[in-house]
Amino acid sequence: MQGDVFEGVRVAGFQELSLAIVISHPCSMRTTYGRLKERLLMARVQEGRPVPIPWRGHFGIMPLPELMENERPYYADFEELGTVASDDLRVTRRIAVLDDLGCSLLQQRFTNSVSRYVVEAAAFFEQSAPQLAEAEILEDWLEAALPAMSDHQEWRDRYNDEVCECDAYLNEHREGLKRPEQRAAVRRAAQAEIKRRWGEKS
Amino acid sequence: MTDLAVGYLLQEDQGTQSAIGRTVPSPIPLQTLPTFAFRFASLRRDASALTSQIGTDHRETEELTLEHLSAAYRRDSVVEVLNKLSCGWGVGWSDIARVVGVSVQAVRKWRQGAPTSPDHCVSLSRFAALLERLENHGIKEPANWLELPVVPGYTPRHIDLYVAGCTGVLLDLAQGLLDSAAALGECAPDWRNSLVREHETFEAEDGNLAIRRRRG
Repeated sequence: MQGDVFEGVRVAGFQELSLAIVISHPCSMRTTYGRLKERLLMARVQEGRPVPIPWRGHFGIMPLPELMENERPYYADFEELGTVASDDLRVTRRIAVLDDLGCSLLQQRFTNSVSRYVVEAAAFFEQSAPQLAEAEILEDWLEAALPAMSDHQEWRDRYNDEVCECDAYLNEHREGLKRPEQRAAVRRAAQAEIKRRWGEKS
Repeated sequence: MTDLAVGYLLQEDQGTQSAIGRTVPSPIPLQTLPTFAFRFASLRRDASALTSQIGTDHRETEELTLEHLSAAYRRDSVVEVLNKLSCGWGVGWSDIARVVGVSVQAVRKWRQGAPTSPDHCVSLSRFAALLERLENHGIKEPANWLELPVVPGYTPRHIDLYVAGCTGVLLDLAQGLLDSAAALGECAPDWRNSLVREHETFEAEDGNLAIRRRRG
């Protein structure tokens, strides 16, 4: 998901492994059948000087305060971009995620860094809301559907199958997710479908 | 001037048991007009003070009602409250997390039975109580309503008023006792300048939402 931070990532164009954050937009991360695209756009994350609030200036970065337990200041560097194979982005290497506001701020700062155009964060939030709601439903679906497996490839195959299943289910509900006045009903229906398929434990 | 208002004023003037609503022959003598005007001003001040006091008392009563409902939800388990919020009302995990002040991952762990702090239990139960209260006040889909902007073209959504601690304003709005502009005015007096949206979303050719500058 946009805003997820991974460790041990090799961003194309850079030699060494580093922390990196997903920049790809939620609308453009997945293929027709809901699977992640082969490569995602990411920005390297580096340790730097603290950026005081409000984040005036510093147009080329997105501050990531308190990213690590060492409490040192980190930031996403919009001048160190590249693509990463999505297969390399294992959940076990994900160390942080941005919440909805964080994703909106990331989009706002990235847009400003490449164009000097300012869009209020609320507009990005409204635009991404359907995909963020879909991502929540997908995560609920996978949580219920995927048992713990020791074989990574077997888990990966089952993961891909369930992503397609969820995508097929959501195909009938995507129009509802676009509209704030219908989103709650879609969420309820999705929760009911998850319970129907995998029982009350979900 | 209504017959009722004139009848009331005359009753006060004359100190008799005049029937309210008695018709007074017009035109009204010019020398009594300033008296009527003074009396009306006095009535308006009294009514305004009374309305203000009733408003305060009403909001306090709503707050007590919310606390009472919240106490009932605290008797349920956190898992049950989360199920009610998501499966019953269709609230998203990110909104629940924001209201309670934790990460989405924390909420997901609670859903699996992880322990919750007492403060977070209280926040969760209070949020569930709010949704029930909104339903009581005729909001059919409270989760949807919370996601909608208070005033189209301006940033704050209804849920933002709740997160900002303006629960009384939110409940007044739900009951139609405040209009949207007045509600935002109470919570953010400078909203017309500081919270205006210069951009809007629209459905692009690929079927996804996109952003453009507001038209009109």
